[in-house]
Amino acid sequence: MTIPIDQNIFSQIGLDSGSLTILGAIIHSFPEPGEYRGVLYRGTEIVGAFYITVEKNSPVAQANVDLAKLGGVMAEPSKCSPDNGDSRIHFVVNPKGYVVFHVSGGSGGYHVSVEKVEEDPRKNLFNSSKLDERDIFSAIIIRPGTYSVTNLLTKTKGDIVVAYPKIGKVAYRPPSPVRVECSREAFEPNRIELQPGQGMLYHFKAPSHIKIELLKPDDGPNIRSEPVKRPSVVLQQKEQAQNLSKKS
Amino acid sequence: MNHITLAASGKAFGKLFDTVIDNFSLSKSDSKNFGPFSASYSVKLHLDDGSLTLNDDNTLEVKNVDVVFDTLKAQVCFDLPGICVGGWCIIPDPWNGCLVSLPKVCIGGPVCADFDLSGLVSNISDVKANLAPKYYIDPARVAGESDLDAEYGGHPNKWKIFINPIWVHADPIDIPETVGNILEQAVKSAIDDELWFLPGFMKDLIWAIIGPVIDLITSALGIVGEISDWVSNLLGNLFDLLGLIETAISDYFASKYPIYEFEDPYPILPKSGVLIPVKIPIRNLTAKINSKEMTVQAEVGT
Repeated sequence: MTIPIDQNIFSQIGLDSGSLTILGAIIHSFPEPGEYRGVLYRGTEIVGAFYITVEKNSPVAQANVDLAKLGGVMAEPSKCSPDNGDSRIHFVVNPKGYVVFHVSGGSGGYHVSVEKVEEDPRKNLFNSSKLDERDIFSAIIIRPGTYSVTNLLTKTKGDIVVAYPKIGKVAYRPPSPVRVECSREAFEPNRIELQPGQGMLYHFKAPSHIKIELLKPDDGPNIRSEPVKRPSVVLQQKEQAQNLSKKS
Repeated sequence: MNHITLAASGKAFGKLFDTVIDNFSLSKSDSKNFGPFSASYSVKLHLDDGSLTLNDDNTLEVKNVDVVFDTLKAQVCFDLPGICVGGWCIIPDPWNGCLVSLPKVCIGGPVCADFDLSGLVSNISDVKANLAPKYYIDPARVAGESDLDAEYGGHPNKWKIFINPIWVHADPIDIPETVGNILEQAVKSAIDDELWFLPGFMKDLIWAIIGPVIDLITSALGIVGEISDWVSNLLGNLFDLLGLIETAISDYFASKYPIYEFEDPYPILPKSGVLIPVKIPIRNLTAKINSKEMTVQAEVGT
């Protein structure tokens, strides 16, 4: 019996829109129909590629691009193979729809770059390290505490406070995400107060690269000790053997 | 015409019956998947007490026999409801609610809770029966052996008088209300065991999302009303433990443990020196009851 919990949910403390992890996602719209080619980076290394077809006749309003699968960390991505045997990883979306770049598991650290296939490959259409009006950055912080949020491109700063979870008489459900607007001058609101597990949706009025860093952790009213590793059976047997030999 | 008549007084019959009751035991374990949850149990029980009444209509009635569960252990497993982060709407659609939503990251999985109700006492409220003599040929005897050789070999034929139940009624298992607390604690421990590797804030967040464990249990298991009634129904009806007990008692009375038995041919004089034993064959044996005694009648056959 195991409750599957990806340790990255709680072990990753900060967020960076230019280095997506399980706790962050970027939503981008491609209003112009056509064929797009995307490249997936982990750090500076290219770890995957994919194609997006934006077509008016598509009924798909939301295409989810799982970067962990594309990067080979999680199980094989589903390949949308046309009849011609093309096994490229392919997504289709309506021009009025959105593509959601997210990380379903693993340690993440991804960013993507997308360009139109028929245009100059150097003409970069979308780079997740530089977000603008057509993007939304979704972020969630699990670790309670005080954080700083910085737009690395405009140098604006703000604060985030994540409350410690309270075990109540009814099951807690995180409230709706807080909307944050990023302009050249400031974050609005500048101080973001979040309940445990509550998300943030960053909208942009200026080129942005969001970085969130922990300043001061909140360990709650009754500070628990960090998890103690269970002693292994071998270790227990060794101890028992030592005790026996001491007695004898 | 009956050549032999034996009688046992009501008191003597009561003693014989006590022996029958004392020798009953039942062990059983089972597991089943009920869709939203799965469960298993293991039970070992015996019977005790009870009041015997002999009736003039050739029946006997036993009331209030205790069913003592020496072992009654159960395990209930269910899926911890997915505890999810994310999944919220990013681009609302005025027509159908949400145009774009964030994929959810969910955790969850099976949780099993063990609880031990050993020592519980339930009740067989009523057994009504008559007597049924059966002729018994020992299946262990050598094939083709004569009756006499079989007897010399320690496998004599017998007349066995069994209690033949007309009905056996087991009351629902009366589960104490404290089982709710036991189950709650078991589920808490099971979840805590699974979360041992998490840091404190993550555990607290999960416990906050789970909420009161009792609500989690009732929701996951679809319990309406008292948990004790649900456990009673689970064991008694879903696992049909009541039916199993009733059938086992019926089967035991009717064919496993006779209230009395005779060898056939019945020994009158034992073997002595060169003299062979004297035995009489018993035929057409009947056993009846009235309010005072049990009478057994038979003919001496050839």
